[in-house]
Amino acid sequence: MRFKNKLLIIISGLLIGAAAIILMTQGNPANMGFCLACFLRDTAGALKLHQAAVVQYARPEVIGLVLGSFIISLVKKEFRVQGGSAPFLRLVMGAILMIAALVFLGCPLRMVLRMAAGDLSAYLGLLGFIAGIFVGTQFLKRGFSLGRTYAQPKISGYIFPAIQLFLLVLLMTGSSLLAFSESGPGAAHAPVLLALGFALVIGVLNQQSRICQAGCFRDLFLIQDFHLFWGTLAIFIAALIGNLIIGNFEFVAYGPIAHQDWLWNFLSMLAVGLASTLLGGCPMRQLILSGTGNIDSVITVIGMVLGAAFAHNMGLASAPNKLDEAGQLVGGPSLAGKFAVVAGLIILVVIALQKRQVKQVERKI
Amino acid sequence: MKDYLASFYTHFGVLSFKARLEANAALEIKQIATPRELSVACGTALSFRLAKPLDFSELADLDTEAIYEVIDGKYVVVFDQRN
Repeated sequence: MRFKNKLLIIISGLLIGAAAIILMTQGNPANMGFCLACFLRDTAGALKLHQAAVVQYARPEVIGLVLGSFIISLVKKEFRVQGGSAPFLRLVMGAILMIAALVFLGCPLRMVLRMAAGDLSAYLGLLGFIAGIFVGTQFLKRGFSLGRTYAQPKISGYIFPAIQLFLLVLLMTGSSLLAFSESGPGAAHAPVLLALGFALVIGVLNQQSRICQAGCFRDLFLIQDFHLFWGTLAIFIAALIGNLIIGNFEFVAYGPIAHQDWLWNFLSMLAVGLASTLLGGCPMRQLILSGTGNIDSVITVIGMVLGAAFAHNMGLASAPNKLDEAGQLVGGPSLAGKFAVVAGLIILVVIALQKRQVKQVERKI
Repeated sequence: MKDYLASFYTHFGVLSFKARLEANAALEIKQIATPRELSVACGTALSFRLAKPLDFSELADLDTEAIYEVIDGKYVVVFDQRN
């Protein structure tokens, strides 16, 4: 069983890495073949929750992940509707996670994809991400808890997958209810059916393998277990091989749609790592769980979508570095974005300290 | 001597249950990843051994999801608080 599980998580990782490269060659933005922070931000834009015209597209990758997870959890009789674990705190932490990810310019998955393309700024993000997870595990070891889940009405578990299905119909019909970018990253996308197909299969495999990029380092720190780590390593290896094949690998200070500000790459991913650990999973994992009836994850995803909307409406998201006509480097994190990351880290630490439980008396029975 | 595995809703549940196991002479208490066949979530479980039976309803709390006896690598539910 252990060998089968290990094989499954490695296959999941390899498929994610390969899909990201293939989707990039088929139209998705550079080094963004599969980025859940970017894609939730694009979906928020498609729903007109923010007004950044260049990042508005209802990404079929998000839809497919949720529906793939939903279908396999029904087939395997693992669809259990549960929630009620500090929903408002999850909403807030989901928003902080997303804002910090948009200061870095990518979720943990895109961080690995950027690393696999030789983007050195993403390696600083990795250090921050690992540091954030380490801090999170220290809070876990000292009794941090958002509280347990409880069974919820069955109908509430079906609503989020149904919304994804509705979004898919709107996307496939080109409905005017959605906004569609005409230029920029939002206009760069692979064919809908190709992206949806990959995402459905990845959703199925991820639900079965439990791959999680925050969990992989959390388990290393908490229980010295490498199982989830193999999944992240597999993503990196598949993306690295893919990038080498298509000639997209080059060591650079910052890659496409990225910035080289080392401090804010580190601090923003520190916040992402800490939030993911306190929430119990990275953005990809939250999406997968939201398809299995986990209402806490649904709330977290909604928080991430709201965070994306705030990030663009308030100028918190970073602008990619590039050289202007005079050869000057422009872009990078905004002052508001830096403030948001620091404020987010403070809020996360306050929540973590407030939600520490006192260990129960070691009663003898 | 019997082998057991306990799964939890929260990591805090793991810590407090572990403290109670230690106070009640459980042996070989180990934190492990919750086996995939028991949960879709990637939380932490506790494996442990008992020389004599304990009343699990006394040992468990609200954060305890389930306790299984491990027999020939199979998990047999002996205490159940799953949603």
